[in-house]
Amino acid sequence: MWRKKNKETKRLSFANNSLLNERYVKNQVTNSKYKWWNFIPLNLWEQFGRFMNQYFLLIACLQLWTEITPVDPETTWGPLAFIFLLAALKEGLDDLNRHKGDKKANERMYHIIRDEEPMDVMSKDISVGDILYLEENMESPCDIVLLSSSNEDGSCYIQTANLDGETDLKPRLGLPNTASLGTEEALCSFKGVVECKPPNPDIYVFDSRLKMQPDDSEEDILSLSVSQIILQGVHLRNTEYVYGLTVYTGNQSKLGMNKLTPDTKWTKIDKQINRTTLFIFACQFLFLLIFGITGGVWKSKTGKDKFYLYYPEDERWFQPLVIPLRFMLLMSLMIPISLKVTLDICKYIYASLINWDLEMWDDENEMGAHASNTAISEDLGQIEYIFSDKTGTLTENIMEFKKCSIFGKSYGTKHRNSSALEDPELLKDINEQRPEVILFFKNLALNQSVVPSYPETDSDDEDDLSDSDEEQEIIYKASSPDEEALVKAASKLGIKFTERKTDLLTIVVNKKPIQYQLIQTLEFSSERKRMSVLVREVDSRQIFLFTKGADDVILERIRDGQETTKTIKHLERFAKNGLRTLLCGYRTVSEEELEEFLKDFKKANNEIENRDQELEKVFSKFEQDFILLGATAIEDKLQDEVPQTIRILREAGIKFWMLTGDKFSTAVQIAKSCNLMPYDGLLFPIEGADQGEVENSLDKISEEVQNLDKNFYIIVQGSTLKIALGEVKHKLLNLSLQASSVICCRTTPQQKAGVVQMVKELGKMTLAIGDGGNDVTMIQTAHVGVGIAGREGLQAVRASDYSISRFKFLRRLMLVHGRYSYYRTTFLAQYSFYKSIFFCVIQLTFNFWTGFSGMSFFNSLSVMTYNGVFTAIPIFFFLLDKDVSEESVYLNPHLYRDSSQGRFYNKKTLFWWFIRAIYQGVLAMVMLAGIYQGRGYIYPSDGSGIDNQLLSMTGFTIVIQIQTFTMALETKHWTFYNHFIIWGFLVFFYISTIIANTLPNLEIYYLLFRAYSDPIHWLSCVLINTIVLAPVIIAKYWSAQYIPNRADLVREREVYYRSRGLPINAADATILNNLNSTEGRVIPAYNSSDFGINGILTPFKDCFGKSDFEELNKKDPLTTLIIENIQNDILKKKTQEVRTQRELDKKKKNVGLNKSNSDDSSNSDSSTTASSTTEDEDDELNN
Amino acid sequence: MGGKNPLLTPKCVIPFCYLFSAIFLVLAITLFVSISKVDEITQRYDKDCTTKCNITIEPTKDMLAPVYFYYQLTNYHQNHRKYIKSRSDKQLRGETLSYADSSVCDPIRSYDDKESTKEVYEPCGLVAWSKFNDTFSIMEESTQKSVGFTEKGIAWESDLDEKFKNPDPLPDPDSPTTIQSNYQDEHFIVWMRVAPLPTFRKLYAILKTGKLEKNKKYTIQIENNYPVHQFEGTKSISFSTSTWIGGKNSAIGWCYLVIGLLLLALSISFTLKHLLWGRELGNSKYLSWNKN
Repeated sequence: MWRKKNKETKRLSFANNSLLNERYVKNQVTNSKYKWWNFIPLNLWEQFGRFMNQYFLLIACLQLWTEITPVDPETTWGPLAFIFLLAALKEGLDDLNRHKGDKKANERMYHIIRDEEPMDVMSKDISVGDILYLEENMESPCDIVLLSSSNEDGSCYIQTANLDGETDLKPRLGLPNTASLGTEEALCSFKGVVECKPPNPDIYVFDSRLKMQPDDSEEDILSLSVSQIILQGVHLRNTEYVYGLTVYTGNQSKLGMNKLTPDTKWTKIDKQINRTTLFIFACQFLFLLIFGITGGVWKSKTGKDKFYLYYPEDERWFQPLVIPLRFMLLMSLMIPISLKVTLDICKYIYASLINWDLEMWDDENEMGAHASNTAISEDLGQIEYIFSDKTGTLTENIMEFKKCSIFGKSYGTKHRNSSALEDPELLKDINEQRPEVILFFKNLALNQSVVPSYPETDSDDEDDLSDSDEEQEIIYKASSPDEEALVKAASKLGIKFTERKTDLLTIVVNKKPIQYQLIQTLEFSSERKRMSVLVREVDSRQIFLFTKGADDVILERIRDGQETTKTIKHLERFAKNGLRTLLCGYRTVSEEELEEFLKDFKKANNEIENRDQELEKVFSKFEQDFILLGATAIEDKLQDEVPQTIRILREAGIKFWMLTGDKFSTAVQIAKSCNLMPYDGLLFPIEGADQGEVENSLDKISEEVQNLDKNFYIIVQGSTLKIALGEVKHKLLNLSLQASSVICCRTTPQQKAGVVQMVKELGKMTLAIGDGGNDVTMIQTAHVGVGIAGREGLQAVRASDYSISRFKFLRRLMLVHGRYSYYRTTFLAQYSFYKSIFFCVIQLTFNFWTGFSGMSFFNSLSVMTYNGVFTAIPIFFFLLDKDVSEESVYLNPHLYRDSSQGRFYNKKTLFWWFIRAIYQGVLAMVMLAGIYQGRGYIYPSDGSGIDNQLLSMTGFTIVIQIQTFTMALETKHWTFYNHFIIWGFLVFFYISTIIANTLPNLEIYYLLFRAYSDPIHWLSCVLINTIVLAPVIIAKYWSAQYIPNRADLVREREVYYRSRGLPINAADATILNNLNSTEGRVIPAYNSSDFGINGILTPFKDCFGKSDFEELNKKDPLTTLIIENIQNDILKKKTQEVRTQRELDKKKKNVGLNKSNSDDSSNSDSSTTASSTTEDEDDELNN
Repeated sequence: MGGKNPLLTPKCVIPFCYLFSAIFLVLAITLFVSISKVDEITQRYDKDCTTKCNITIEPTKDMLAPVYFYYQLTNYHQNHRKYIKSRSDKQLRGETLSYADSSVCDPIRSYDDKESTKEVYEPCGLVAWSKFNDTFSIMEESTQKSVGFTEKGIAWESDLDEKFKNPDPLPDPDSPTTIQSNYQDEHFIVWMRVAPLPTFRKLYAILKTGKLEKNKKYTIQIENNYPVHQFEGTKSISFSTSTWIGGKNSAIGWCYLVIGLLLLALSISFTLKHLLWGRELGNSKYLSWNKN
């Protein structure tokens, strides 16, 4: 027991010695939350943890006191029980599934070796120290250290789809010392000990050590790393079997430790609704006091004189509380009990609408959008800031090797779009076997972590090669698309990487295979920004260290005195063309150096605590003195419709910031080409190496932009950002908020998240979008995280709230789904408050006639069905409502401001809803009392006076009518379903009351037959509905007509088109279609000295001339239609003309014609400048 | 999914405004005409009446059958929460009420507050206990002959059929626990149908055939038992005929008239506003934000 109390500091897993492993938990996996016996108490406890539930429970309990309850207690107990049951049912079903899953996982049989005995056990009985046997395609039940496999070298392949969603195969490699333990006998006598950290959630780190014998000395300790571990949940692939030593079991496995349930996110509107609830709560308390005291006074002043009320002389102690409590119960309806459930169901439906949306379906990936977080759709409509990654998010992340520069000679630079792979110069140089060129491509072919595979049989590749070079294409499986592009390029040029064995790499140069022994890979990381391999050419025994990486890191490490200016110049050109660049270098290594390195490496590698830092030191020392080989340039194309999407998002009033790991010039180039930074703005870089400089830079820019009437942009580097995020954060923030956009380049994941956090702290709504592992922190920091299911695995998607497959779908996700969700929720919430307050106001008003006795005007059945049926169900169909059509939102992105600025739910809107409730409630009750006043009213057919029940039911009928018409008035988009539900429920009300009327045991028996046969009933229905609804209609009419908001105007336009038989916004859409390509063009390279190029985008609206519809409106519909068609034709012709003209211009200037369509449609204003720029650039490149 | 987006445009709202105002004004006139045909005579009697008294009325027009005769109370809160809840519908349907179940009738539960089912009042509760007990008989003054008013058919048929049934055995009229010996007594049932407002009248008798003649005097003999002075209430009697909209209920007529006039005024002002300073709908110039 004492061990359990002590915190585990390190874990020791002893093979074949179960006694020593007893203190660790068995491999029982539990994901479930409840057991059968604690489900009810635990679930109830959880539900009552919420304030609103406690409040409703209090109300329900008070209702049990007959002295004070205005209506039967069922009116609260019923819905409360229903809501609790619903929540418990959902929890219970979820948990049942978890139980089933657990049971299945726990009872799966596995073969193990324990205490020198092979045996079969259930998964839940596996313990630390067992040697587990796994066959191909089996799922590992716990975390194991790979000892040996069916391969002699102890290697195997695994798939980690369960962990991070990545489906590529990852190699794992047993240590040579254990790889030899191939048989069960050998493993039975294996007494090794693994020493590792206590259970932890870090799935990318496993720094631990292995002793082959328990009493081995320190020197013989072997180090283990991630490449030896097979985690729980991963599948074994392409390997017959493996043996592994269990280290972490059950919920202590890395997967188990990662299962923390994330905090529930609350949307902005949720918080506002909560505040409103509290406000109503306060109002309720105020009314309770006012009416309670008035009631008390009435009782003592007047009530006691009334013999028929039989007030006793002396009261019990609680009597003064009775009236206030009655009013409290009477008003408890003001906070709708069903609101939370209603909103939850709606949120679930919003999420489903996103999941089902075929408009966001991507044929290429066969994937639609997915909402992993079903609760925050409204926040999508309230975004003020978007933070976007670049690679893979704005761009395709399909890399293509475009250009290179080798020893100062550039290839593929004839013009912008030409590729080095087709450059005859390069082909010639390769054919001539020029050593530096060959070495350059050898670097690319060797310095990588790509796995080659062959699509068909395992036939000997090198033989086929000569016969069918084309057919036997090698498939390279790479985790990084850049590497894939580089290896492919080398292979195309005849330096073909063909085989990777554990420590042997084979490349084919000039059809001759050359083998290299892989001594060590110095892996890539976003901090190191470089990758190196240490290889020995098998034939010549020569040792090479190849490196490639970001320019700044490589330039730091090259041998002094080299001629680098040309390479750097080429590199800059490449970058300015928006290409991703890398520098390559190499050096030869002597045997002594190698020995020293290996010694240092081994020492560092045996560290458990600071292994990474130690290794980095060793690597850094070794990676020096390179000879610069040259530079590579890879093109990453923009995703389709990125510029349009960004334009629309910016027009929607959203600030779009780009946070990228790429370098300054690439970032600027991409920003320009994707409309993030149009040419009419000024760009200010923030610079500085320490705080003072950064502060100066910030101050200077602030001063300059003070009197600037143009848009301006800020760009900041990661290193500067780190300083700026410190002391001078407020200044940075100040400036950033004024800027049209901020671009951060060379940033680390932490810095990305820091920027998001900075803006988030201001109370702005943020959205982060990214596709890679380096975006995960940013995605998790922002209010809404969107992951792009891209080529860099699914890490970002798993961390995100929403996943989409293309960047362009963000537009639909936010403008359509976000805005509609917000619009619908705000209506539902406000309407729910309104109808509840309206109902309570009637109740309160009635009490002016009852001596403030806390009498309920409505009977129990009415109270229950009003909130539970007649108003609760029809509002769900408001989920189909649209204030304006989807097309209109795209055409008028400004409409997004309605939701992002919270126009639909604020103090003003709430005020009007409350006023409406009070006005309608008071007036309806006063009118009823006036019409059914005791003196004049006679039931025409039998002369009876008015009865309390009859008046109550008449009132209820009118209330239902008012609510039906209110719902109808508020519905902006009528479909069949709306008609069916809204009017259907009114019919349903009449049918159900008529049925209830025939039941003699009900209070309302026969009442409504009397009511419905009385003309006064119908006259008062018409009168009261008119009186309470007319002001609403008039106000709506007046505001839409004379103080219209954006949505009103857009809706008008939609109706205008419909009335003429045209699709919504037909003409607008035509303009957009014709000019879409103009907006989406790829802008040619910019001149670094010329940040403010004057190519201003002509807004597409101007093409149609000035407000043509003004004229159209005055003519009759038919003529209008014809004119519109003609105008459309003219417009098409005009656009065509502009295009032809442009093409002619280009031909004249004899600039190489680009194949890409994007260039063809450059704006006429800028095309001259643009093409001449291209020309200049290319000329320079050719030099 | 298709659908319609209705707009509140002038062409749709203004005609509707006119239409509604016309409908309301027409209805208002119809109502006033109908109401004017109703004859009503109401007279307060609690002031000058001791235990017994006579009141004389003289119709100014012939009042044709059916003529309804009511008693009317003011400032009487039958709708008070304490009062309205103090009854047992179960007991009134003729079922036996146990002492425990009689808690709904609080404070009039059982004789001497004895906790036994036998002692539970029949029927229990404030409403039954406070039943109005003045009686009226209507005669021609000259002949001293009773006019043909009947006290049958004043309660709702549905109440007589389903809601009020005598218990078995019938309550003993002399027992101190008996408050009402016949649950099917129509005056009792009418009283038990509580009024929603503090001023109300309850039907006492109906003249089903014949008429109250013009300029003829009628005497109502009143047995004045029910106390109202202590709570400043009043008691009156009332004769009324009815039309298709019931009695002399001019409130609804006034409401229709006022609303009709208001709508007319609004319609006219909307028309003027639209004609003089109207706004053209659907013009692209309003979408000005797109141009910036």
